[in-house]
Amino acid sequence: MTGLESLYREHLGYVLQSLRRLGAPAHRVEDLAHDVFVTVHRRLADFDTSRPVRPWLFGIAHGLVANERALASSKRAEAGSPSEQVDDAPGPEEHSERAAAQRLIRRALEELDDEKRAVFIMHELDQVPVSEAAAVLGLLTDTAWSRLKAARKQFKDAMTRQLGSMEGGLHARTRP
Amino acid sequence: MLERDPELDAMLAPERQEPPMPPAALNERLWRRISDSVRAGAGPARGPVGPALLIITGLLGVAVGAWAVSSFRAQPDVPAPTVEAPKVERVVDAGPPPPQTISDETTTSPRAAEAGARPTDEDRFLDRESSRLGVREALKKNQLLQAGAALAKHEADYPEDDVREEREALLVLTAAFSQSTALPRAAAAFRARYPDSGLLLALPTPQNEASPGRPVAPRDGGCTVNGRLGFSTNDPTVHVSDVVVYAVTAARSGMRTSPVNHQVVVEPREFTPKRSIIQRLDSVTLELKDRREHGVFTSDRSTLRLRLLPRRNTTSEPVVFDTFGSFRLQCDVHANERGFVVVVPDARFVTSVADDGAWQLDGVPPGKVKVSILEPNGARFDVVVNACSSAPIDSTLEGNEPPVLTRFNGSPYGEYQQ
Repeated sequence: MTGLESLYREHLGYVLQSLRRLGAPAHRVEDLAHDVFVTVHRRLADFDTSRPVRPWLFGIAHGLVANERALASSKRAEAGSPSEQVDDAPGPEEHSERAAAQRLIRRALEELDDEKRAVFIMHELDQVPVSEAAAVLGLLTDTAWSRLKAARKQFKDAMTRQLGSMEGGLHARTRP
Repeated sequence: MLERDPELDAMLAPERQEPPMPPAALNERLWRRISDSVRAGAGPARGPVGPALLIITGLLGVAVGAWAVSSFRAQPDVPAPTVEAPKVERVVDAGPPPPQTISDETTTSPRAAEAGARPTDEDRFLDRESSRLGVREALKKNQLLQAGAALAKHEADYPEDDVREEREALLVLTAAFSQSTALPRAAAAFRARYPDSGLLLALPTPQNEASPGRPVAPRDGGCTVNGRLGFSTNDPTVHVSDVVVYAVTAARSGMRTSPVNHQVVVEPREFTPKRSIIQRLDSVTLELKDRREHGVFTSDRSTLRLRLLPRRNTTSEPVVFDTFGSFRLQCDVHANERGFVVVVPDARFVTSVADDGAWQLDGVPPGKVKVSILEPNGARFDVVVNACSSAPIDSTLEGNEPPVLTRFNGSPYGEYQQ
């Protein structure tokens, strides 16, 4: 358990952050983090210690979030209920400027589809080389590059749109 | 390769910092949960897979049937297979609570009911893993009835859980218990599919295995079946020598029963060998000998899903072929890289057609034999003859139209994926 515990102590913050970036529902983040580390425990013996840990953790988190989404989607289809609304209202600690910017980024990330989002987060936010990200996500490197290119464009469009709507909102509120 | 984008960098700057430390309370609470799960032998969260209740019901029926038959014919000198269950590894370096004890009869532990509270996600996860552990323990002890019942209950209680591994293990153990002739193949297929399964120790070792790569010789004094094929095709990549002729006989004794692993080398522009003829349930391993990455799949996109070979000398996991037929190997990157895997029922009696259309099968046991002639695009000609008194089989075969080959995701070759 020592190896697992040291990984847990060192990378829990990263795992929680990655799960949120991947769009895991807020009320499921803790459970999914639990599942990530249980999976880590199972696969620890197979992990190549010469490779960086975080991309590996991200790959596990990505798979679990994808499973979660598929399960939620099939349950919704069975129940015929509307899609789950994630409460993204700012918490008390999120009133700073940086927190507001982070919320904008997360919303823009939510507009990317899963495949593009994973490559984008790994390369643009975690600064993982594209070849490494492709290996973790089981993609051809060319495919990862093309997804990254498309994701960059979609992300910038989404950010521009959000900033525009914020400015529009501000103008509307300040108008006499 | 994409250039850095300063505008994007500026947008992402607030999110590029190290993640904040999680609150201490969350940190400790989560660690306790993880420790508990690890101690209870919990596996990873699994993806949603359909319950396949019919299959497990069938399996349970087979298990019960095997048990009943075995009880009727129980003889003191033919004991049921008893394999000592391997010890379950438990990690106990974290403090209380003590490791959970799971009996064979108790497959679920209603924690929430005990506590008189509404079940939480954690309760459900732990209950599910305890339930699955109960199934596995019963399998390891060769308690087929308990395992079947526990598996059926688990599937009913947790339809989202993927228990294919346990189902297949039960199938193999049932075959062993009923002394089925299917045992060696079923066991070998299980080993190939789950090479690191904790249930492997419970499985019996197949007997009378043939040497890998060497088919068992046919019976002495076999017959010769031969013929000549007139072959035509519109596929310019297919030649008459790509056509395979094989025979299936009623006499199964001497047939190779242990699967063999075959290797296909993925070279810069071709697969070597271009065509592999294998017996059903044999496996194929792909080895990359190119500096660039390749992605290999079969054209049906299900027998072999996209298998990535990212760098030179990468070797794939063995891919088991469990369906007869001709499977086209494609590369996701290189449009003209072609290969075939032909899966036949019995690798003893297989041959290729010569350039002039002649073919010959030797050592075929006397009696009725079904001869099949199969071309790479799937067209086939079947005939049943008497092996030792058959005249040469002269036949004609028109090849199927070649398929329109696309990349694994369906996009045409030559278009850059967006």
